[in-house]
Amino acid sequence: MPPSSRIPPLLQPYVGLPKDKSILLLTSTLGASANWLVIRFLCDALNTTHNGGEGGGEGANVVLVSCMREHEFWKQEARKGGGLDLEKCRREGTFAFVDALSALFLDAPPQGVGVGMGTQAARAPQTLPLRGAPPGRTVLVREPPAAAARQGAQTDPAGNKTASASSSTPAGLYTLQSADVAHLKATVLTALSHVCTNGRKTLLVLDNPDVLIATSATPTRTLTSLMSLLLTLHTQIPHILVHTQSDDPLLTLSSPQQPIEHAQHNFLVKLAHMSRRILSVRVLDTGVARDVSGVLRITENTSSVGGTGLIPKDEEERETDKGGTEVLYRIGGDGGVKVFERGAGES
Amino acid sequence: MTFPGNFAVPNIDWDAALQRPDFIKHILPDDGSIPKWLSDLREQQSAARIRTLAVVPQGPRKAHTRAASCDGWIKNNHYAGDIRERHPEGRKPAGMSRPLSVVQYQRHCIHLMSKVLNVRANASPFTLVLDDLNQRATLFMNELIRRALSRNINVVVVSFEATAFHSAVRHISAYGDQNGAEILATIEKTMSDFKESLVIVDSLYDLLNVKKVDMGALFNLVVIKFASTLTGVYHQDVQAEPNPNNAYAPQSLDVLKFMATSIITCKSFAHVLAAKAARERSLPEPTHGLLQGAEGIVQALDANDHRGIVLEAEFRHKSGRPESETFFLRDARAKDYNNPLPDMAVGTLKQEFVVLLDQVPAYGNKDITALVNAAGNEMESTFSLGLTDKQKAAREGVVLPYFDAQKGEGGEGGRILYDMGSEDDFDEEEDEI
Repeated sequence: MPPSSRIPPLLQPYVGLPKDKSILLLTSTLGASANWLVIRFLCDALNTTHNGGEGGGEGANVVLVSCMREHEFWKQEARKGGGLDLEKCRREGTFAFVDALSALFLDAPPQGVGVGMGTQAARAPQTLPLRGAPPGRTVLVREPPAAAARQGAQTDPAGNKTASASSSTPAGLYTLQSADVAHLKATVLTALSHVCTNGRKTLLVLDNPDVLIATSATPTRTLTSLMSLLLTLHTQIPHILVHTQSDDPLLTLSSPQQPIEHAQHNFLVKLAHMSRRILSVRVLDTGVARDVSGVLRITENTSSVGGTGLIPKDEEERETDKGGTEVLYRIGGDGGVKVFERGAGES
Repeated sequence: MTFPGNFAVPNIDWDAALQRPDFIKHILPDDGSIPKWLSDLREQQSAARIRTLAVVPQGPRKAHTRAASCDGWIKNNHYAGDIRERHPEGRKPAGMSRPLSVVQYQRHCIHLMSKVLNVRANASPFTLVLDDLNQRATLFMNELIRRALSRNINVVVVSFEATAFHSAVRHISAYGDQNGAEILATIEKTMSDFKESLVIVDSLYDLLNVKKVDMGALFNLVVIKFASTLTGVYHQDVQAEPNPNNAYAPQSLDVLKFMATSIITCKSFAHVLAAKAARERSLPEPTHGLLQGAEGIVQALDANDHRGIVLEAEFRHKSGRPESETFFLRDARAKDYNNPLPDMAVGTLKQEFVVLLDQVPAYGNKDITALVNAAGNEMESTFSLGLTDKQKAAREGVVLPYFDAQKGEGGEGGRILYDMGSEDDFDEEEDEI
């Protein structure tokens, strides 16, 4: 089965990358995971068998930075849900993965420099592959290893860190050694040089970078440097997809304000202001249903200040602004996804 | 008449002085000839008098309150090719100005907005634009930039959120590692080679709270030093953190609102329509987006309405008098602008197209709000109380009991039909009566 056919037709226009530079925002809540949607984005970008008449893009290289899941998880999900062989794409130089989880937050000590594929495979049974909407996202115990990593980062000279991160065993697999944003930038740029060889566009997927804010001792400062990093990378990378959490407890401020709530709220709001398309996944408002996994809301914002759309166009040239849409989705046991309008699900 | 020792010659009223014989006797020499200085002075005086006569031929014109003669009643067509001047005929309304008519008021308000939009000098030195996720200010800001470019004004965007810009726009990537002082220095450098500039900050929150730029310093630089226009966007849904050093210090948004000469709040047209419908039904106004209360919703479905943007504007005059009105700005089309000159990015504007919200047909129209109302009028129930056509046809087809009895021909003349039950006791005598 070619990967493109795994993308539901209703979803197809929204997982395609826009023509010009863009930041896309993907938000999810605890009950409704958006990993399946990330996989669909990967499918659309990495799929090389685009037939020209479809109007889809010519595909893109992908750098995936994941702060919540390991490489093994994404590999399995992509194969199961999208029919996509990430391993092959990586060897071909169209895909690179930055692991921002293992060395920072997991207890297992990194064996040597960088986590090799062998250790990943041996640990595979520990990670539960996510099927459909999980009842609860497993929040990992973060603080002690993160603190340890940070202490290590403080003692190590900066140049040493970068070198150790870049020298991962298989090409295209990188592991983040410290939660420092400058280090993240260096690693992403190294990963970018791995994929940026065939002249196609590049898509950077940042999966849950808000974890870096939440685990930081100074959330506000991390927020600032993370936003700065994002825009700096955006000058080099045409498309950036950010996946972040939009749960109420993270966004509504208690009184007195907690720095972490404040930083998380502003991170989401600022990203939403910058982004061209917002895809929000949430649970059904009316409660749990057997045949619906969740609701996907898509809103578009086509222009930016002083950028595209500055020169007015005629009625005919103008892109028809569809406004927002809302669709329901259901994730099957086999990893396949059905996307349908409200009331159009099979009875 | 005596003359003190030092006096200024031009201040003397020579006409009066020369008519006094004692004075003439005093100044004339004994032989009766006129001295040279006196004749020079006289020439000078008469030349000056002729000059003043030539410049002001009449004194202040007398206002005609009544026709002087009947000739004035017959009107001559004095049209000589240029603007026809109207002669004052009646008494002018003096003192208190009359209240404006609706059309005059609309024209006045649109003129105010137009001055701000067209970046006219001194119209509004510092415009604060408040937006949120439900309606971003981009449409308004792009219109501002477009009109500034069409008037050949230098546009500088201090960018915290965007990386791609049109080539005619100068931008400063302020999101990087530069500190506040460096940003101010860069702004100064980019403004220095133009007479008039428009400086746009696309997130004032980041400039003030993250980069710690003093608003007064920025205002001084742009407005006072370069006599240019400053416009800043502040996202209302970004939460400001309390000042750790001084809990009583005002938030930066309050400072901005205090300093601004115009405040423009952006709203989605769809949301304004919904709010209007709610007001007419005396219901609380609906909330949208992050405020909606549903977990996981970031942006409202009808956010950033493509029809246009509603701008709630407050203009503050120099006297301190504020004027508030609500405007509607639609997206610009190519037809609104003339073709650009070779070295310009945008041509000049043909006609002003910002209007008051009340003038928008969709807002004033009853049909639109009636549609929204109709949705609210439907009874809230978990049951569907309507009937489908199929259900209607089935209901029509039901044969009611005793239906056959009704189509009997005329009946049998009031005879009582009674079926005896088992408990009934038949009484023959009673029946015979």
